[in-house]
Amino acid sequence: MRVDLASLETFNRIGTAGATQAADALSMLTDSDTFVKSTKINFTPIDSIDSLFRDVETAVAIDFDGGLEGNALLVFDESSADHVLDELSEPGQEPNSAYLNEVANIMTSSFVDGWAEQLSETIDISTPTTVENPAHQIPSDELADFSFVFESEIAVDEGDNVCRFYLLPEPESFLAMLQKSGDESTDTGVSIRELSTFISLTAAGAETVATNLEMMTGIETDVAVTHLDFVPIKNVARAIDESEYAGTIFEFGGAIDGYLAVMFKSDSVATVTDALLPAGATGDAMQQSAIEEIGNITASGFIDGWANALDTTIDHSVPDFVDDMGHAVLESVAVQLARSQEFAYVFDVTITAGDPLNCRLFAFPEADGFRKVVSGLDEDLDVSTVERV
Amino acid sequence: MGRAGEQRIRVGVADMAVTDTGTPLVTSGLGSCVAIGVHDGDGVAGLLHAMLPAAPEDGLSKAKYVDSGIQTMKAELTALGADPNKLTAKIAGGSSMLNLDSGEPVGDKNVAETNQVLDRQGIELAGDDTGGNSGRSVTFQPRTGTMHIQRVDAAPTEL
Repeated sequence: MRVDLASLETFNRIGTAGATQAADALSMLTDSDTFVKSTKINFTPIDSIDSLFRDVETAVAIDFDGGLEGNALLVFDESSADHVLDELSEPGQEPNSAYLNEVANIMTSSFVDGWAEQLSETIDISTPTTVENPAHQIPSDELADFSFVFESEIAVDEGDNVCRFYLLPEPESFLAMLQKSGDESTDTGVSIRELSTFISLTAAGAETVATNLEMMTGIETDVAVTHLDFVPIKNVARAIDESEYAGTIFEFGGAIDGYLAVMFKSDSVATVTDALLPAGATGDAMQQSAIEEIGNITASGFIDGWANALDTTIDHSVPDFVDDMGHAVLESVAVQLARSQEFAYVFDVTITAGDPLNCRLFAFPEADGFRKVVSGLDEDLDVSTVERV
Repeated sequence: MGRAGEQRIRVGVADMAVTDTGTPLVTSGLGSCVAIGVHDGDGVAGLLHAMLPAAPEDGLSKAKYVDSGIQTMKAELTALGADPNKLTAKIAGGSSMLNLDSGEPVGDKNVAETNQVLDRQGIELAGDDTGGNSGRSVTFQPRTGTMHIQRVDAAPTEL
C-alpha cells in the first residue's frame, strides 16, 4: 500500500486542533494556563508503542468508531496529576483523585470532538474509562507491524507539568483514509512496507551505535524505541528541552542529505568522558574530544548502515561540537531544513544506561531525498544482513 | 499563537503574539532564530519568533519570516490600539551555534533583515543582544518594554 506522506501535514493540523480543544477544556475547568507544545505523528513498530508511555500516573482511554476508528489515551504523569488536582481542590480540602478522572473524561471527549469537526465526520465515542496499563489499549492488528500514533503534548502552567494525548487509529482504516486524502499523482508517495523497512534498518543502526558505545565506555546500555516522527518544522526543536546538552552535529550528503545530532544531557557528559578518558585526564578540551569521538562512531553506525543497505555512499562532515540549550541547538538545525520544507522527518532514538547516561540521537533527512531513498529500498530487505561498522 | 489573559503568553518557533493586558510574553531556546519584541509605551506589545529572513511569494506562515512577521505584528498591534508612530523594538538571538552554513550564517542574515525591516517600518530599535554562538531564552514585558535574556553559560541580562 502506498501513501502520500505530504498528506500527513493535514493530519498533523487536525491533531493540533483536537489537542487545542482539549487544552481549552482543561483551562476552563481548572483556570490553568495551558499550551499545546507540539503534535507529532509517530510511525512506529506496534510492539514498541508501549515505550511511548512514560511515567504514567493516570490514564484515561476512549474508543471511537465511525468517521475514524481506534482509540485515544490521555496520560498524566505524577507531578502534573498532583498539580491539576491541587488546582481543582478548594483551599484546605484534600485532593480527590476522582476529580482528575472527570477532567480527563471531558478533555478526551473534547479532543475527539476536535478531530470530528476537522474531518467533517461523525465519530462515535465510548464512555471514557480509567486504565491501569495504557499499553494494553494498543490495537492489536495482525496485518500490520507498524502503526501511526498521534502524540500531542499539553503544558499545564509553569514548570514541567504536561499531559499527553495519544491517538491510535486502527492501522488499516487509517491507511485507507491517508490514501483517500493523498494525491496519487505526486511523487510524495511511499510504500508503507518500504518505510517500515527503513525504520527497521535505522533501529538496527541504533543497536550498533549502542553496542559501539558500550565497547568504548564499558557501560551497559539500552536502546529505547527508534521511531520516525513527522513534525511541523516549527516544532522540531521541541523534541528536546531547554536544559544544557553537550554533543555533536553532523551534516550528511550523497544518496540522502540531512543532519544528525548526538546529544548528551549535562549530567551524562561526565559519565561518558570519565569512562573514555584515561585517569587524571581533565579539562574542557579533553571532554570535547571525547564527545566528538563518540559522535563520529555514532554517525558512522547510522549513516553507513543506510549507505550499505542502499548500496551507495553517504558522506558526513566532521563533528560540530555544541554545549548549550538543547532546544536552541535543534532549532538551529531546524532553520537549515526550514529553507526548503515546512515539515520534517525525524528519527528519534534514546540510548540510556543506569550510570547515568542519556544519549539522544536525532537524524533529520532532507524531505524530498528521503522519500526518493525510501522508494528505492528493497522492501523485503533483511536488515540483519546489512554490513555495519 | 499565544492567548491573551494568561499568566504568561508563550510564543513558539515561527509564532507571534500581541497583548494589551500586560501579561509577559516569553519565547525560549533561540538559536539562529531572532526574537523581536515591539511595544508602544502604553501597554500594547507583541513578540515575534522568526526563523528565516525573507518570506517567499507563497509563504503562508507569516511569523516564520522576519519581514512578513514584523509587518503582520505591526498591523496586529495597530488593530489593538497601538500608535504605529510610537513603536519601539528590542531584539535578541541570531546566534551562530553551528558551522553548517557555507555562506553567511542564517543568524546574521536574520539580524540584518530585522534591522532593515524595522527601519523600513519606522520602528525604532531601542536595544539588541544578537550574534555570538550561544542560545537564548527571552521574556518581554509589555508595559515597560524590558527584555530579559537568559543563557546557560552566563548570568541573565536585561535590555
